[in-house]
Amino acid sequence: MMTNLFSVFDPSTSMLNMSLNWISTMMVIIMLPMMFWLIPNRPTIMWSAITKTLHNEFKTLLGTNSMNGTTFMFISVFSLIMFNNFMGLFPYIFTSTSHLTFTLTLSLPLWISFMMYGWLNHTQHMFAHLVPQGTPAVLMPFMVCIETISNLIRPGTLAVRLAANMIAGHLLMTLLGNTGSHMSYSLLSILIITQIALLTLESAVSIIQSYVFAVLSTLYSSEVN
Amino acid sequence: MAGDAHVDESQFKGLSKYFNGTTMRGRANVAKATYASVGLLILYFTMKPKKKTEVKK
Repeated sequence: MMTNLFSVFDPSTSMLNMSLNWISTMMVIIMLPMMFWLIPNRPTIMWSAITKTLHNEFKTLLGTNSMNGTTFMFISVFSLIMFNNFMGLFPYIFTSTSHLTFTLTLSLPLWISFMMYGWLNHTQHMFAHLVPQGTPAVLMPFMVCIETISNLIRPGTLAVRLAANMIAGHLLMTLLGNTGSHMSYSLLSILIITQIALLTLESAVSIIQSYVFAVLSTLYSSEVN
Repeated sequence: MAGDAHVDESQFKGLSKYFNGTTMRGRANVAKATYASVGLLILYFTMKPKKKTEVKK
């Protein structure tokens, strides 16, 4: 029953009084490692090509100072978020990335680890980063304050950006879908076309938002080195 | 980050040798000085004695 607009995001599947919704987050584990046991098929080869492209791009962002294997963490984050976003578009599948519990769990440990590593091991470098190179003298104190605040809100912005994008899209689709039962047949065809267009948009948004999350995490990581 | 790898530090004289927006050391010192100033301001306003309002009979 829809008690309010956001009740579509409430966990509803349960067994023995335990909520089972979060198991949908683990669906990516079932899908990706098939290449270890099966001969690569086209979807597997396509996925390998995507991860290879991402690896090259993240390697460029991280620079030459980064250790080998650093990109794997960010590609894993990208995969997890992308699969969760995409699977949430299917009916009756719980979208875990629309909850701050999930997105903050990803962004906060990443940010805390970057900050702790950066401030403890490269303190001078971190202080210097608060003032962009070439800043006019008059603006320097303000830039320090702005950069500090910008640094502090990073885990929040990462988490909220992803959650809000997912909620907005799903909410729009739900609202449009709910009006279908009260519509005439002529308007219904327009509604269906609109829903298909919205679903296409949401598919693109789910991939883009996961990419944005991964790229920003990579950039924040490259700044502390 | 390139930092100040290509900056000639000898061009800076006086106070700008330690506080500038170009060298790594200069930028770090500006940030530390800003944090120190803000910290002192907060300390001043926290430690400042508050005015007691007199109750008129």
